[in-house]
Amino acid sequence: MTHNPFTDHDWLLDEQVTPVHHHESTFLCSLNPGEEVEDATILGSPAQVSHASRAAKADAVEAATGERPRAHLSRRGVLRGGAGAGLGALMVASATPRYAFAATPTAPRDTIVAIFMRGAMDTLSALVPHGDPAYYAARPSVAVAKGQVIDLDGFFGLHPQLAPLMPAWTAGELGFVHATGNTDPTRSHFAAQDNVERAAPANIRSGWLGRHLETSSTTQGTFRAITLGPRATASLAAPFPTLSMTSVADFDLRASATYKPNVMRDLDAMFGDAGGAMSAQADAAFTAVDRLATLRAQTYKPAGGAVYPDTAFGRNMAEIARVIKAGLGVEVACVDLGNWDMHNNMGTATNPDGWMSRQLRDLALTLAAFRTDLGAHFAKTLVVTMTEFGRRVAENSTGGLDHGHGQAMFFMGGGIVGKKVHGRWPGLDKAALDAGDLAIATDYRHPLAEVVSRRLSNPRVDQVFPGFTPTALGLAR
Amino acid sequence: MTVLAATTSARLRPYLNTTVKPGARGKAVTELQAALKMPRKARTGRFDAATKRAVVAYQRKKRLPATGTVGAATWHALAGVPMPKPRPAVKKPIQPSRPTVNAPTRSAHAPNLPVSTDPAWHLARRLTYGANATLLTEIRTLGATKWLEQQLNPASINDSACEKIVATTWPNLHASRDVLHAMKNESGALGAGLWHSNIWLQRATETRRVFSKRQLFEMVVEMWHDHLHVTLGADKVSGAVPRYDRDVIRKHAFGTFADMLQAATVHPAMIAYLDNSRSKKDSPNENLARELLELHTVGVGQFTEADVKQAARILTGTSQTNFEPLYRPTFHWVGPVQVMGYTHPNATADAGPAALSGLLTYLAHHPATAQRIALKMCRRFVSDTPSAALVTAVAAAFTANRTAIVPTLRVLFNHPEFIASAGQKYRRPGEYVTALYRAANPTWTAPEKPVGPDGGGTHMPANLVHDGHYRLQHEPLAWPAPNGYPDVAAAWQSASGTIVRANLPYYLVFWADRTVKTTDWATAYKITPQMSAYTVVDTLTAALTGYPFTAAHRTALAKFLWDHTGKTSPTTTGPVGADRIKYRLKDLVRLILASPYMNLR
Repeated sequence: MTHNPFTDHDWLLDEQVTPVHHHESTFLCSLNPGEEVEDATILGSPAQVSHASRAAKADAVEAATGERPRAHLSRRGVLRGGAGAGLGALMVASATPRYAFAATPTAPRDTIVAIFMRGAMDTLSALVPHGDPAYYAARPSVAVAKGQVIDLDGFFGLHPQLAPLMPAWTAGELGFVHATGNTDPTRSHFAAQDNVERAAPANIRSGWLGRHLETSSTTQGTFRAITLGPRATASLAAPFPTLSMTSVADFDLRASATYKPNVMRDLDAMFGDAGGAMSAQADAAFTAVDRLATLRAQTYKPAGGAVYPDTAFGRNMAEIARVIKAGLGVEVACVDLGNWDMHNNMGTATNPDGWMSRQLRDLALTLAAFRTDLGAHFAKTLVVTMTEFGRRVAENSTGGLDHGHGQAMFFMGGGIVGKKVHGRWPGLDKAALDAGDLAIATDYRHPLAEVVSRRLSNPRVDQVFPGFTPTALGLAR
Repeated sequence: MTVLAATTSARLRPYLNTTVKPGARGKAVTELQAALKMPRKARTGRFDAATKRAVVAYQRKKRLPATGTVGAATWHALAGVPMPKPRPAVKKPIQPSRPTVNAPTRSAHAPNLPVSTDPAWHLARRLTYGANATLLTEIRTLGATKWLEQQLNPASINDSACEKIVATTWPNLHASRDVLHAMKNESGALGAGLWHSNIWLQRATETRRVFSKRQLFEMVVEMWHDHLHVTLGADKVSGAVPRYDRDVIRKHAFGTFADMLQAATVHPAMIAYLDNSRSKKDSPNENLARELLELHTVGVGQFTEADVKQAARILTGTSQTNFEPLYRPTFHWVGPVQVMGYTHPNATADAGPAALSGLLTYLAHHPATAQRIALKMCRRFVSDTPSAALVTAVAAAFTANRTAIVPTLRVLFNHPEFIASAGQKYRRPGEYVTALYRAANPTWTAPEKPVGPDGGGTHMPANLVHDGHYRLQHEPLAWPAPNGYPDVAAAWQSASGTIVRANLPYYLVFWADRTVKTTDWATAYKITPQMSAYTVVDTLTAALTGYPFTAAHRTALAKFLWDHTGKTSPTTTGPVGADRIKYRLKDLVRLILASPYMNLR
């Protein structure tokens, strides 16, 4: 049974909502002068929500029609086969790939790794327009000095902490799109993240990567999409389950060591017997636990001498490399790098211990290690970074930057047209700014649509970005 | 007489619990004939016709069953000794047997599991945040009807313990915006209270769901929050939602929908949330107007874009400042307005509130609103796919009672479809997490330090509850869109969620935060070493889920408890012994709490 992704959203549109928000940013600022309060929303906000849905519509439908989403043969059979079939048998079972979702009958796709910079990253500090005097005029204390910038093309250059990315740039595997972003005028982290991740009119609650998965294959493999984090990210919201895990080691059933095989077997049996959506979901979950068992049992050693920084982001990216290399069929991986909300005291490029320096170092060292670690896999990998909005061009009085508009996106991988800053640069002259912010010359959906089409081999860009007509920038090979 | 009676009593004592029938012979019969004061000549020691006649006459005189046979009752009467009272049945706070199977029922979410249950369990699972022994005893003692009436009249329930917890733990929960804004964070910046009030409200809401005795009220409060939703955590309403919760949702949850709609629409939280604060006559903002029609009342298909524009005009001027209500006449659009079948002259700049109030009354009582509210209630309390007949019946009650909520709910809860709907709801994450916690019979432990603008620190009680909500993406009131959290299973079932749900009981049982760390499951559920493994399993499955487990699952759990290596198997009677309880009971509890049964409401 096939399902139409654009009519099967009925639970998402449970109430047929078409909320049209006319945001009153300016007025709200005068009503709510507490800028700190807004900042706080990004730091452990309970509602910093990825309301990523994990609907089981497809499974429920299949269960209702009596068609199992996938064959239930192996593992349960092994587990129930006898008293002796414990964890050992489970590992043996898991060593055999059972689902051939990787053999989707379309062109081979890149694995896309989408990195969301939560908190609004100042990309003018990362990809510095050092050829624009207005940049230095607007930032007397926090600009990256000309002597510090690693020049790329005579106009743009990198923050010194991004030096580890230079090999990728030189190899033509790193490119940027500047002055891009979400044209919605909101300056709310919350609303902007929601907008960017949905990338669709407000009445569509799924995320753009969720729609990509939906429209590019009818098969939902266990590891087709993963989020490194406690919950599936909003970009992956779709009417079928996607996995989220904090680490390979963590995606496991917890139990006392002695009884773990019993706990697994009994839960597996009870859920397997339940039938319906409950069985289908548990099957996906336990299958993932099972297939990760082999990986869990090994200590991960990055390839090529790659060394990830010992940070949450570094560890998450190492986990992504690990599952990609394990051949589990990962097509989409999502991960966050937070802590970009630098209203105060962001530090300067001359200080390697400043806030921005530390953040960028984490980013660069991790991406460089990731590229080395993947080795040959990198040719079929596409790393994309985005943030909810850029930051104000002019620094504020407390050594930081307030919420802005345009941003730069990073594109890294074997299939991109690298060594180039793509997109039109509107400039930083006062007249060119959008209320003091970098104007958006290129809607962020243009580059995303291009890579979805060319690198992810998905022709249904109209459904991934509904209501949007994309233009190629020449970013993807 | 006394002496004689004592003598008679003593002489008859050996026979008190015997039965002597016509045809019998012997000393017992001689003593019987003497006690009946038969003539000496007739005391033959043979239970003959004369003896029988005398027995029957005596039994009639004493208003005993005139059987002619002498049993315990007659002997006791003859001896002048009162019959011993029957032994009182041992009171069992937790049903040790498997739950009553009163009808074969299947759940759409797990069609192969038996989900029959007894009525007390059905009410406990469906109308509360989780059953526990206390609650079941309460329902069984009062009877379903009385318990339901009590829950529908929450003022009749003394909930002072829970109210005190909330009032003392979050004293600034309902502080004004100015007070909240004046609070500083650790680095001294103003405004900390605005954000932290969101956290307070989430924790207070979770705490009430665990500890309040007004369980149905809390369930209905959650339903109305999902209906007239204001996203907790949205920047523009930070600091406003606690008062919205108190003054709109809680105030009217058991009142009338018409009153609640009036209160919600003009509340500063809603005004700010749906961008009506600066909506002016020259360019009205349509956000609130649209959601009022689409989400809060009649629903899609009942109105046109022109109706939205007209409703937006009526709403102009209805504003707020500093989260205090404010009407701005200079913003108000003046002139006749029409929304669907409602008209108002709206002749002056001051007419806004009256025109709006009339519109809200019209919308609250519209038949399409009744249908939507009824569907929402049925989805909350019966199934994801309630029958049209049920929805229509509930909508009729809503209309007949002028949108009064309690009588509408009463019709719903007494409907056969509700009664027959055991297991038809898949627990949403919040319901699952809270039910786990309630099963542990938690007691409240006050935080180590007063809860301040820091939101309560890391040692708040009920951290496990909050963590479960967070991991499963169901933090109270935090759904990011104006349509509220979905209330159908498909929105909540996921592979990752399955693992999280399977692991939460592990943390509850083995790690549990300090509020429940002392839970001794054996004591709490009266498990003794003399019980057989099967009895332990039956006791716990019944006490924790209220569903009968299939024979295969029951056996698997008993085998686990008996010998996890599978080398030996339990018998139906062999005592389980202290060691098995000591080493495997917690894992058994975890298995039951993590089982599919526990996910069915």
